[in-house]
Amino acid sequence: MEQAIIQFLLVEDDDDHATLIERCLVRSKTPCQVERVRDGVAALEFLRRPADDSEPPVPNVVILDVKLPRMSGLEVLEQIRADASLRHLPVVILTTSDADCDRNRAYELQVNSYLVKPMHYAQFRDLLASVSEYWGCWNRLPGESAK
Amino acid sequence: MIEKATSPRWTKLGIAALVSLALLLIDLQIPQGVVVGAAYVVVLFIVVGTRVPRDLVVAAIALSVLIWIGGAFSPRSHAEEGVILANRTLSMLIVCLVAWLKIRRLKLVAQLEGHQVELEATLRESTEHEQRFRQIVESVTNGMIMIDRSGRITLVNAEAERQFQYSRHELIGQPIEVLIPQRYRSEHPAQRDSFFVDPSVRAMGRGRELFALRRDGSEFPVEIGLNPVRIQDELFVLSSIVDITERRDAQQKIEAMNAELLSKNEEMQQFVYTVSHDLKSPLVTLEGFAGLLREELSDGNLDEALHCAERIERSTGRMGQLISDVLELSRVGLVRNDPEPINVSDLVADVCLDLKERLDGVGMSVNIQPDMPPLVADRIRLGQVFENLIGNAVKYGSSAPQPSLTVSGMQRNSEIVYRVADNGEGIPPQYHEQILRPFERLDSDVEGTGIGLAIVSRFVGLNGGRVDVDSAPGRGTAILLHFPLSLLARPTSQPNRHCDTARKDP
Repeated sequence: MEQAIIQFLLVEDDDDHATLIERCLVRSKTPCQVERVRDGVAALEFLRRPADDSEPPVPNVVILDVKLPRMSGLEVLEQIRADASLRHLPVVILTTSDADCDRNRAYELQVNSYLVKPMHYAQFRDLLASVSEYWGCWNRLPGESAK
Repeated sequence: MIEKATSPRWTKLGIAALVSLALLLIDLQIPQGVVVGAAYVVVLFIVVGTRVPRDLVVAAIALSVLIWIGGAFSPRSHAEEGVILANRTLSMLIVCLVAWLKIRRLKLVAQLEGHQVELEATLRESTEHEQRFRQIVESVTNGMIMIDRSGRITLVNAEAERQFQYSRHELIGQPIEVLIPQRYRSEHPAQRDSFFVDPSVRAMGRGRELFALRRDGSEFPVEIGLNPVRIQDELFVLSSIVDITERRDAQQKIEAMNAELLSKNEEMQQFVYTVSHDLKSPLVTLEGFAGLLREELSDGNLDEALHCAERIERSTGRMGQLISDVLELSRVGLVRNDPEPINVSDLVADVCLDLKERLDGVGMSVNIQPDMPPLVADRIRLGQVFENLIGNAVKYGSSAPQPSLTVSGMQRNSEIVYRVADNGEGIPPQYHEQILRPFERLDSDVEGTGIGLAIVSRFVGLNGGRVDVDSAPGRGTAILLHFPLSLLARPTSQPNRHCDTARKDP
């Protein structure tokens, strides 16, 4: 089956984590492209670029860290949900924080999924493979053409 | 004492005897018919002066005898025997009657005197009671004020004089309302009357905060106990007044400390949350790159494997740095070196000397104000504070074509303010508060754990001051340390060059 390339926006301030995530996504079976920004403000700027110079293209999924410089991941999520043009954009939080307050707030803001970064590499790799497969192959969004 | 008491008695008796004798002699010269006997009554008036009833009895008998002698031996007259006898008998009767009257009077007087003594004793006792009551009221450490049914002050003790700044003479007779703040005055007479209707020992104004008014118009919070006192069938109210200013202040202090504890607790929770996140993060990196390393090795990609190993090393280093920074931050509150007067200009110069390599590395020029106000503080920590601030200036403020660092200090109003400023790209105002919190970083490209400014903020806070950020994009960044003026060191003591060694003391 011919698969469309899935576009990820990765919002991650830690270079090492970003490298790991990118690598795991790229090495997964689902073809994907990853655009990375380092903080919340840059993420919103990227998402709100004028449509005509959409190079790289609008992401299919946002992978968002919580603890970010300048603007936290939860604030970014809030802004996305408040923005009519971005409201349905799938946002997956991927963070080291397993704190109740973060999880509660994220679900209040209608996060699509809340994932805690696994400690072990194998789990990390499998998790990201599932993420790309799930969002790339199985998940259906409003307004998409039927497969 | 006895002699003194008896001698006037004998004198009086002697005079009485002499007078009696004289009267006898006169009687003996006068013819029998004339009644001289009645004159003997005078003697009784003298004898009564001894106040001894027995003397009067003896005197009456003796005078009767003298009257009889006078009658028997005075010159014969023409008077009839019967008349003479009647005269004499009558005289004796008068003398006896007068004596009896005098004796009765003496007894009555004695009785009266007895009553008077009794009365005096009773009076003395009641005066003693009152005095004791007043002494007790006086010695009580509460203010005590007594009012009568009409609300007039009838008694004030020393403590109440002190509390209200009036002397008791000024207060006695005044309505109690002079000691009540204006806003409560109008309702007080009615409340007072209701107490007199149903008097009982109780606290005034249950549950309400009560205030009293001093002479100078200032108010103080009080607690008032009301006690009905019955004196000679009249009802009074004795109020006991406690100034609770100190207690209320202590209460407020406790509440403030409690609030501080709560906020500390919250800060602690936030701290634990952040630490756990920031410690977990390098662990994920370690585990991740160890896994990748294994993959690369099995695939034979040696270059990639080497790259993974480098990431692992760097992550371990970062974790070590993070742990030591967390320890350092916790020490700011725990380990305290004795505060000492510090020449801040010298201290900053020493710090810059230590950081010379890094400053030179980015080509940053340094400008230190030579006469900054000296500060009493923990020398090692203050050195560390400036080290962090100057370190930040090197890290984040060196983007200008000609990077420069300015450290200055001044005394302003009631504070001492030190300013560490760079001419770098600056920080937008919305992040000013955030950067003072631990582990908050605005730029993840620059090495660091986000603890430096938190240490600065913590140290200044512990010294009763605060940290301000004065910065905007394109305007450079200035960090301002505000210390209370009480920490200003006396300019005479400026221990100078030993600060170098002191700072390196562990």
